[in-house]
Amino acid sequence: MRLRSTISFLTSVLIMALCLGNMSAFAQTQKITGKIATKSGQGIAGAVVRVKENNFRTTTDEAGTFTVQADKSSTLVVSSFGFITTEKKITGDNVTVVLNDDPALLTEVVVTAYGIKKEQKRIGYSVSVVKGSDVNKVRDANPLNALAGKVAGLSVGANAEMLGRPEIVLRGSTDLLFVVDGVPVNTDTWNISPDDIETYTVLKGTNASALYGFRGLNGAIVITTKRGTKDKKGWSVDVNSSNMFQKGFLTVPESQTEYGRGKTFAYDYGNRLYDNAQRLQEYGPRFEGQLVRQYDSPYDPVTGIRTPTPWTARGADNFNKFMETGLVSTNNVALSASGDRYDIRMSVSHMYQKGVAPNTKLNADNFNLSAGYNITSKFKVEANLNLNQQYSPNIPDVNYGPNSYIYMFKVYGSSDYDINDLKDVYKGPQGVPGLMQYAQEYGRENSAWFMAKQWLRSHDKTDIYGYVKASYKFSDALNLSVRSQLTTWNQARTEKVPAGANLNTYTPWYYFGWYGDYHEDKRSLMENNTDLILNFDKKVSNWTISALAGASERSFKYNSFWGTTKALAIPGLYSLSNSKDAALSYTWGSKMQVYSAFYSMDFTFKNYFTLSHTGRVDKLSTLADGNNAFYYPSVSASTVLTDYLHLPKAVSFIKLRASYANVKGALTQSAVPSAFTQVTGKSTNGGLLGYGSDLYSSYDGPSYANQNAYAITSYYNGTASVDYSSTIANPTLKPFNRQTVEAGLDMKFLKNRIGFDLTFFQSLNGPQIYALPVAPSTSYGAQNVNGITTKKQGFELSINGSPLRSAKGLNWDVNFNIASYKETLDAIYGNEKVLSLNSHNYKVGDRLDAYYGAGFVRDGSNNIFYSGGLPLRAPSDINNNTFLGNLNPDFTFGFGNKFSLNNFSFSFQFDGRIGGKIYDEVYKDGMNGGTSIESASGDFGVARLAEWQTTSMGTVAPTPKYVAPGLTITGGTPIFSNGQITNLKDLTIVPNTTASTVQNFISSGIGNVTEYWMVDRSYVKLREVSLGYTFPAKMLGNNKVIKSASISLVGRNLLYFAARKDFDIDQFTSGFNDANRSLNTGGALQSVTTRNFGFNINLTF
Amino acid sequence: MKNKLIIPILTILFASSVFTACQKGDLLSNPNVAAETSTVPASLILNHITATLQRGEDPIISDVWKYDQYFVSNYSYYFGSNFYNWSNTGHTYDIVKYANKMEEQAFKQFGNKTNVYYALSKFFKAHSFVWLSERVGDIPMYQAGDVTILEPKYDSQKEVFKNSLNMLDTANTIIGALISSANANTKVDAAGDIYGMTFLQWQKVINTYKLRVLISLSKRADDNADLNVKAQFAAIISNPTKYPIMTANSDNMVYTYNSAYNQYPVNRAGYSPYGYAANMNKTVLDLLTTNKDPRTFAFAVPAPAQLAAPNSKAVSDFTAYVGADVNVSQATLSNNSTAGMYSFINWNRYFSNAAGANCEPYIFLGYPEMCFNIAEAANRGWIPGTVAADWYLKGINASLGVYKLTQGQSFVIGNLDGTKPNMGTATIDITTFLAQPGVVYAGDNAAGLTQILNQKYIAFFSNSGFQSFYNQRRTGVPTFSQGGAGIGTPNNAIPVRWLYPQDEINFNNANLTTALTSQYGGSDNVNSLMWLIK
Repeated sequence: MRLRSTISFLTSVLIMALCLGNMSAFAQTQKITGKIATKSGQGIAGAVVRVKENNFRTTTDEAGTFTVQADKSSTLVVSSFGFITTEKKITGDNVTVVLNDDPALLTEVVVTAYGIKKEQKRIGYSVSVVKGSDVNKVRDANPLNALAGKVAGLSVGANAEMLGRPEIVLRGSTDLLFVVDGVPVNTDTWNISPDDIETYTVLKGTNASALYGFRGLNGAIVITTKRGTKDKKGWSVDVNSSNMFQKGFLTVPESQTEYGRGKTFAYDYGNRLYDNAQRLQEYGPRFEGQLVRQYDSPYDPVTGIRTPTPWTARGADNFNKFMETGLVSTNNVALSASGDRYDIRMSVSHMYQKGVAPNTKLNADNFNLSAGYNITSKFKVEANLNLNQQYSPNIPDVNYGPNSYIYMFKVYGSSDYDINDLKDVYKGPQGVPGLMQYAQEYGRENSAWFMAKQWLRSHDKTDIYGYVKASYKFSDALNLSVRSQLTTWNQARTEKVPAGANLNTYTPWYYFGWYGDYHEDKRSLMENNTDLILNFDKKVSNWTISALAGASERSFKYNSFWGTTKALAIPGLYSLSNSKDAALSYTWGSKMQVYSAFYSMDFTFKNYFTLSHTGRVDKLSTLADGNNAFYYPSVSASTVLTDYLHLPKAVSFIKLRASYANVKGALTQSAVPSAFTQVTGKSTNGGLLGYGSDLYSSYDGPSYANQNAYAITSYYNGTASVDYSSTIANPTLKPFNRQTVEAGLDMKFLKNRIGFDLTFFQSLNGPQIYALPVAPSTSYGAQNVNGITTKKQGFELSINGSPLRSAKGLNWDVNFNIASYKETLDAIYGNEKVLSLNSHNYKVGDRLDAYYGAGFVRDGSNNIFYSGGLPLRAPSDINNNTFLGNLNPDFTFGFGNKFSLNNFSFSFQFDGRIGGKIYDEVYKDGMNGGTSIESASGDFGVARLAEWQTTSMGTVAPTPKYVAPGLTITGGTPIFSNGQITNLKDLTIVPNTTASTVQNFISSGIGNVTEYWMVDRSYVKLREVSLGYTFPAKMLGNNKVIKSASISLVGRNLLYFAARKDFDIDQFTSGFNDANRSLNTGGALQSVTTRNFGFNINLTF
Repeated sequence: MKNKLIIPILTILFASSVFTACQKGDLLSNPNVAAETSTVPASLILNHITATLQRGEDPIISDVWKYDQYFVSNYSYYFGSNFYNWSNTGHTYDIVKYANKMEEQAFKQFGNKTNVYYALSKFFKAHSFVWLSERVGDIPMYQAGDVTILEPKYDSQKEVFKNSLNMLDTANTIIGALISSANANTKVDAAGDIYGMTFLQWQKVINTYKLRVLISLSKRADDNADLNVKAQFAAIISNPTKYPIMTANSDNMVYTYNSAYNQYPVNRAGYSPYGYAANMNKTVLDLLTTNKDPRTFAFAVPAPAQLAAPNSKAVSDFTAYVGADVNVSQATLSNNSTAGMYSFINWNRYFSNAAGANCEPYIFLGYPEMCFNIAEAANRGWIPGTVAADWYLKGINASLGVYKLTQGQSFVIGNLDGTKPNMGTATIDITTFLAQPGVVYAGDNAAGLTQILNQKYIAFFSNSGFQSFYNQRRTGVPTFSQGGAGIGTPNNAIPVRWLYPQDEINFNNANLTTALTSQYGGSDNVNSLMWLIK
């Protein structure tokens, strides 16, 4: 075509101009023709062909052919954007040079749905790729945490808990699909060995994953594993060792060490062996060395008299003394080999994590085997198996209760005892071996050492996924493959609560001096996906057609068990049959079947544009006949302007893209809690035990949410009872709907030295399948409807640059990404005007992450009203909740830099989220408990000290000294609306002069005002730093055994910038979660987070 | 070519057979539950109803006992605030749903509509409608609980009471027909009925409850002849064969606590170590101590400052028992309490045992209340021939019986948190108490009525949910403390009703608006008087 010729001509001119200075006389030459082609044999247009000896240059035509003048023994140097520059000696009149893809330009070819590789420039939607080798050095225990900050729009909230699953949010949605080598896997995010990963491809949003159906609704993370590679000697061995030490707190709540255990400045352990009748805060007497009866004061067992001892802050450093240095060590050996007809790779990894809490650890073994064999040139079989085994004798649990170290040290953490004194967990006179712990008190807390050594929570999981695939190539154009995949896991967790553990009134069957308790949680999941896919690739005149059609069957099975003793009969024997009262057990299981047919077609017209279209039909077992089969399509288009427009030299690449997708699905849930919770609808914590976290496993199975049924339960004294559904089932329920449109712009300048990738998206999520509340007078709570549509709009921008690039000097690569979105209510249902959700009536157009709750009442000038010395409260109905902020961040960003100089490389990354609000639970709990530093500093500190001074060393009631700066109403009746007074002018308002004690002001005052505890959600982390050295070949010397070696010093989570550093905001990724319409306000206790340092060694043999 | 294809085809067949397990059969239905078409023993539904009849807010030391002015919280974190800042009410329509389901299953199981589950179902429905109507006014009744009507129409409060009384009558008729001398004393359903009552006891409950409903209509007894309030009341009193009523505390409908499953509420909620955070309310304590009422010792422990020097009072000294005024700000209550100025709830009795072994079980509907209801009706002249004073005394003695107090008993007094379980003893002197001028019945006049109502109020301590509050709302007796910052409403006045449930406002708005217009001039306001108490 004319355009192409023009560009070829221009290119030639350009090259000639560049080469002018090098012109020299031609030697005796002859005419040589040839072709430059890709691996698949396609001609490469516009490739530059240079004769090394005489510098003659030309470019290839559309078919990839060229003609040069050269000596017969000359060498050709061929280069083209996106390919590795290749030299080849001429061996005849006609020469073909095959160019390999340049892996450095990893954006060129990407893996999309079903593992289909596509040229990046032909794709009409947003895809990001992260290379495994880029994230494997600065390790975290969880492989997916490494993706944090790397991809615009993807937030990975590393869980602060050991074996915790990170909260992964893409464009504001959780519940992403994980695909390994083209097939979906069920993952806890721990069953993936990072050393086996070649690339992580993030398919953002609905468009990219339309082919995976509703499971890919929120986008997908497509993992491509490494395969056997060709090497001169046919095999290679890679060894990678990564060791990270966790030391030094990144976020930790600060504690006051001025006042100890007690209430209203008084404390007395009493003349008794155990003080289990009193549960105290840390609002006790000031540490002034006065004599107080304490837990370790000399005790006369005959008279029961305790001799007082000095009251000092001997445990000011308890938390630091107790916590240890953690370690995450990962070692991997991989052997890969390949020959003419086969490729094989075997990889064995071991991960060992030692927690920062004593006696906690986790092991994970991972075995990965992949092999391919070409039976004939047309017929190929492949198989992959990944086996992952996790085992831990003890992982810590964290929430508000006496099973949690944070509760023990940072909520009710008095400094009146030395933690090291409790190391002998059965020390007398309180301790009785095997029966009763030696603890600092017996009403609220446990000895942390007793917990660490005796209160154990085990975890065992076997996780297998793999596939067998056979493909037959009928011709270059037509390929048929069948693949059957399996993903299955089996997990058992137990909790051994030792005799003498204090659970006070948390657990109904607890009594002081009991023999302990035992819980068991077993779950297993099995899923099979079998698909048959016909691929078609052909060039028909000016059109390149790439199409596929397929069918798949998904078969799913899940079973779970949860049981608990009701106090142990024999202490130390942890078994369900050893129960004092009849043990409780629950089972829950499910099955599901999905049949699908799908197709995908890409049409590329010359190099002008590509049009793609996909379609899918699903037939689900979770919907009633008649509504259970449904179709949904997607379309996309892309064009690379630089392929056919004459643009200034500085512009290397411009691509425009747009897409639309529609996805439907129904009645599945992404995660599943314990069998107890599934059966009773209550959490094990709130519904039974009163402590502990309910574990949610990756599930993706049926929710059974649209059925009227009786469930068995018990309300009274163990007698059998039933519950009937409170949601009215809808027999004509249709699948939910989500439509996404997306447009993007990809630009590269200055020979790709700088590039931008900008994406705008909008998705209409709905009508959803929604349990819409009904009037209680119907006697039901809700009805299932197809209703509620939300609109999400946002953008993602990535900027990549290489400010410095030099073969021998300093190289600097930088990338920056930023993303933002907002989700608003777009439609409700029928004539409904408001959507009542999360304690607020939302109207169409409202942001759904807007959070409402109890706020302060203020005058027009921001002065707070008080009544009786405590904050004035508005009426408690929903309309008087006040706006407390939006929970979602305004934007997220990542900023990475990589420097290299000869064999040294240095990189670092900052990332974070800016904007939004979050509830600081540890702050509130620590203040209520009297432990938080803020309860004894500033104005509170001054007042608290003044109050203490009125108590005669804690013997009389304190005189209140804290007068909150603000106003009080002395006349008139306020009228409230939206939590604020509307008739200020009718009221008599004077400054507040009523004092209350600091303890009362906090616990009975601001403790009830949610607004006080809402803090800025913004944070920035110095996520990773790495200093690497690659040993030069000559240093490895004649020792041909080691082919390459590198070592890196690495650091992770080194710095944290936030308004408050008492908890790590990073883990609270989502604000409003559109999957379950819940608000993630923070609002929970969690472990402290640490700085990680270590080193990484990589060897190739 | 043929040979070449064999291997691939075989392999494909092999591969596809490896894991594929096509699951047949019904995958739509949840295998973990019983479908709505299942036959579920009516007994299991009765179990649900009886076990959940008591609402979450009802048990002792929950918010209602602060609203009733029996105790005050001096520390918000443990016992909440004392604020009367009521908003949207809870409801009991779930009971209506289960009653409907129980009828449906009982018919499947027994093939008739005259079995005992039908009788009980009528009682539960009547109880549910009255329960909600007492809180808000008009409510949906006739169209309620029908899954095909998502926006049920509202019925007037009068109609709700009228129909509920009819349902109670039907319940009495059905169960009456089932009772014979052979089964009168057998349990209705040992597995299903957590109250464990006999046929005859259930019949007594139905009629005793009806007396409560009728007396609650005292303000409407004269101007609504069609309701026949007085005649219906008299019909029950005059015909004990047709309408058996409770005859002793042993007929009480009692929720019994146990340690491993259904703990006594203060223990269940984790309050037992926090006795110091709950003081006795002045309203109830003043009524008790003025008349030297021995129940003082059962309910409360002395204010520490009264026992200490310079007061140095004995634990048996009624003046050592000082209540806290809920009008006062919680911060002040806390300081005063720390200084020992107030009495606390009797820890030994109410907090010390997980099963509530040292105190009375929770009375859902009881004989003492019935006695006072009859006394009130007699005082009001509804039941000529019945002597109010007799029932007044029966009520007092029955109440003392509930708290297990006997003449001359030596009663051990403990302290606020169980650390000193025996601070001394008091002697229970019922004779002196009954002889107090404030206790001796003043006759069928206003003073006598106040005495009846005061004694009923005291007898409601730790039982019967909101009845104490409703009686006070209807009669103004006893006088509740209000007007101070501790009340926590904009005008610091005690509200007289709740707002309608939020989801009625959101999802049944047109009908609700009509009901609000006809009752309260269109606004849903906690200070508006409903028909029942106008």
